[in-house]
Amino acid sequence: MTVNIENLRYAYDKKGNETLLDIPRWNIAKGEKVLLHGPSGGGKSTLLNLISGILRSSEGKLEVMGERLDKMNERERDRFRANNVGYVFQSFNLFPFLNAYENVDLSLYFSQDAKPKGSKQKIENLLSELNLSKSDCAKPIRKLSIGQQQRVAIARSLIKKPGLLIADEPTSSLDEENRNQFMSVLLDLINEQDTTLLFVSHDLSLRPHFNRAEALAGINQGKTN
Amino acid sequence: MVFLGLAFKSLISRRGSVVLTCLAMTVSIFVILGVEHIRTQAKESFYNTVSGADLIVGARTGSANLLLYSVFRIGSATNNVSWESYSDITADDRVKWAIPISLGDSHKGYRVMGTTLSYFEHYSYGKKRNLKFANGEPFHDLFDVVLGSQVAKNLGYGIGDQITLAHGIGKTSFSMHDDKPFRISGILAPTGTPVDQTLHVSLQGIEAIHLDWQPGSRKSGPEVNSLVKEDLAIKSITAFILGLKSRMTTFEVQREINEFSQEPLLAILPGVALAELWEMINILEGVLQLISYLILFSALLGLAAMLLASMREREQEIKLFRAIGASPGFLFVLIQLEALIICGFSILIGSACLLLCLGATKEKLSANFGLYVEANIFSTNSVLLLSFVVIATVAVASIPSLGAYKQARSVT
Repeated sequence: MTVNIENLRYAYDKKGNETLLDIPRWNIAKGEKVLLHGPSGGGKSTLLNLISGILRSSEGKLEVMGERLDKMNERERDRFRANNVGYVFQSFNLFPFLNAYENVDLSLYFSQDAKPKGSKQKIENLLSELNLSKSDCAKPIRKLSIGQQQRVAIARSLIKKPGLLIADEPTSSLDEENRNQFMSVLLDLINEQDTTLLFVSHDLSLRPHFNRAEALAGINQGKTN
Repeated sequence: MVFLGLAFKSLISRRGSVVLTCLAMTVSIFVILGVEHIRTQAKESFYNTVSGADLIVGARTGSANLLLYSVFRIGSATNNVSWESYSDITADDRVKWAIPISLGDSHKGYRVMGTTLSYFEHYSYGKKRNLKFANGEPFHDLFDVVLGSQVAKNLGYGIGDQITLAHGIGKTSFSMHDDKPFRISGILAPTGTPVDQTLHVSLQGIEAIHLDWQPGSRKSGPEVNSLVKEDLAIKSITAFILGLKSRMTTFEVQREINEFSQEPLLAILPGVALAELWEMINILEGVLQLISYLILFSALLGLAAMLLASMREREQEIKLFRAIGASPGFLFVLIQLEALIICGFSILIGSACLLLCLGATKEKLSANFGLYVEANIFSTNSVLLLSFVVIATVAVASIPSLGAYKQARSVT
């Protein structure tokens, strides 16, 4: 099991008066591709932040890849996320002051105590696999097209071969052609690496790409806006 | 290295605001280092002006005034000291040596001082360093003159050249002693004191050029060739410096001179008078220091404001850092490092600019203000001051750094 949630509660205030998320039970199996949808402000991003360990749950059990995130301190969760979780956002997936290569390389810096041998070659191979030429990789990020930037973002999130990839509405700002290209590249790599995918989107036309689709309202008993 | 590279690249991406902040910091470091350096050098140069002298004696006036005209050649004496009084006092067994000083004439704005050969033997400055000749020898003839190093350098004079003295101390004088020209017999080595700005002649030389003078005008007088040094009787001098055989007798001799019955005299201890005079300048010194610290403070606030303003635009960047596994502490250190890089560059540029400016204006400072400033600005004081700037930068940058830390912890 990649994600295992039992009686998870999350409230913004410490007294727990305003519970945003209250999930009695929810699982994602290893290698599964799950599409999560729901209205804005419903707590989707908060759930992703809990699963990635950026936020800590107020109550309940949250197990990701066999590790109890609810028992870890902040430093341990940061380390866990750096090693095991990839993250792709809708926008601002890359540091604008670094080039493509440096963006991917920085992701590796946080994932291990020391960079693995041959990491340079590994990064170059992955970027080349994603149809990014060497000259493109050396360009400042702002000089790349949106489609190229999203491909670099995929490389950045998958270079460390994470067990879980979280994608927070990564296709919402893309046109149909770029969206299809993005999904194709992402799913190819996900399948190749046997990575579990938790994908948040309003776009239900993407449903065929996933093993299952779930509405947050269906799993959350907490108060929503 | 990753930290440093990231901080550098992040700063370069915001180069507009970073360059302006760096400029403000550079100006503040230039001012704070400059004020500190000139203050220290001026103080050192001030205290080094005269050494080894036990008492300075002149007509009764304020101790600051006596010190100013006798040592710094600034201002004028209220009255003269008669030669008889000088002879009586210096005849005392407790007196080891005496240097008479006669002021009142000038040459192209530089003060002329009448004295005796004991000046070259006993006058010392700095850590009891005696005067040395760069060229030539002391005045032996009546119309010989010995130049201070700056006078010779700035006016382009050499040994054997003839110069004319002017009556009075104004930079432009219409009353010239042009009938009695002086021949340059020697040029002193640089001392970094007012000696460098002085022309030295014998007391008899001063008497000789005033033989034909009545107050305000010149009357016909003897020819130059007919004057004999030994025949010229000294009537009065402006002040004199005393060296005593024993330091133990200093206060005793000082009291006796201050109670001298033949005419009202004042004897001062050079060290005490220098300290008193510096105390008066101290207020200006304090004001300058305060202004430079205020400039630094405003530049540091500017740095903090620039970093704080960037926090809003960096909200997404912080979110991304957190997503890839960076801890809030990492972000705290990153912002601190950015501030330190700006501070480091400002220190480098500010110090380089100050070095260049001092190198370029060193001569003018000494010629126009008598301020002898070394171009080397690096001293324990300046290192301490720069350390303070670095610590202040860390303290001020902790405002945006803590902001980034808190933002990183509350990412949603």
